[in-house]
Amino acid sequence: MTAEIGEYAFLGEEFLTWLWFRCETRRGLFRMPDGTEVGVAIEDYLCLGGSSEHETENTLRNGLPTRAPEARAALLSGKRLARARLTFAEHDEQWSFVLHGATLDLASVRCPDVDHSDYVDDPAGEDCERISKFTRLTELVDGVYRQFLRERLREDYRSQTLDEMRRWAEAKNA
Amino acid sequence: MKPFRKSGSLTRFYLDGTIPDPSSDEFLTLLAGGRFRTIENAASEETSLGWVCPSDASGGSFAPDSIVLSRELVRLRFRRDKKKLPAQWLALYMEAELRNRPGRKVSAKERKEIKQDIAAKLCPRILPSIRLTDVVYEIRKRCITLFSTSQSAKEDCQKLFYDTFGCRLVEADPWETAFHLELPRDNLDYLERVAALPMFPDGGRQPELLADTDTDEAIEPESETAPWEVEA
Repeated sequence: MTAEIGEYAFLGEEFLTWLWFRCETRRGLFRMPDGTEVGVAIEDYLCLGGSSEHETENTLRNGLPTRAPEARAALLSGKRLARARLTFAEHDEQWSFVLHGATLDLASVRCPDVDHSDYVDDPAGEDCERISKFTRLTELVDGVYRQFLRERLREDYRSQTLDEMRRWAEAKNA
Repeated sequence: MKPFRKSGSLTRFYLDGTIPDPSSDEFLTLLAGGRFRTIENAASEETSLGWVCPSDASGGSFAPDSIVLSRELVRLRFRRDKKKLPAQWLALYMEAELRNRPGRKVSAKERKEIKQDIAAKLCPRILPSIRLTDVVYEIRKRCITLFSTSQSAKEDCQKLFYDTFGCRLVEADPWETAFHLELPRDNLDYLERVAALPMFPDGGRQPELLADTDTDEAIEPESETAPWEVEA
């Protein structure tokens, strides 16, 4: 059960690409194992990369990069989504972060606010609450990643989901 | 003590090994054994890495109240100090030293000795750079969250856990994470032989298919005459 570091980076990048597809075709709604619903949106930063680290990356920022012709061209040339800024929303809380496909690292995370006035006499409680915002985000990312893996690790993934994704990429902005 | 941050970057690890109960004396004793030791007055370039308490960055004490936040969450922090001679100061002192030896070539060996003398003179006066990194240990999940994505911080964290508790930290990359998500058996069997699936095989779609992107606006064929040239 051991793997070379980076050997399975493609799984994370395929996950991000699938997430993009699901956001555009099924409104980006995911039900977590605990029953809550999470909304996912791709924001204003995309980085599309090739299957090897020597291949050129396309970085798209600002505006609506998912709608950019360059994004479609990169997908059609076989590139996967290597990094993207995402928003996850659960109930009235929202997280913004950059997900790195190859490592599943979360960069530039912005968590929902915690009201300091609720914890004036309880600094440990405030720390707990603030840390819980980060750990909840990791649970949500894991929950969505699990849904991807349930689809990806099936014999018919290629003939079903991947075919659908190809049609989606071809039809994007066409 | 400042409240815990509300933004930042993070990397996750899975714990491979056993850590003593964080509310036990044994845990605090081990933590204190791997505590940060200052290099403020060191007379050479060096680094120091060790645990500090979130409420006391000196490494001198570990208050259980600021470490064990609940039965589920443990907040840790490590500190890396690095004392490095600034290159420009070294160059200035070196120049001055060489000016005092006019008319003869200074060998590489002599240069090295001069550099060592300068370092010994300057290092005690230089304050090290400080880097504090937060770590959260989720006891039930056996998961470590490092609040950094830098490779050196990841290595520091892995080293500290190994040296302090004898535990290995396994990075929660796409592969390792998959094994921690309670996937059904058939998914896990498939995972063992999974390979990358390109969106489009053979390096993507053909150029002629890429060209028909925007059909709304027909692209005018390029005129042989430049716009500023008036056609006769």
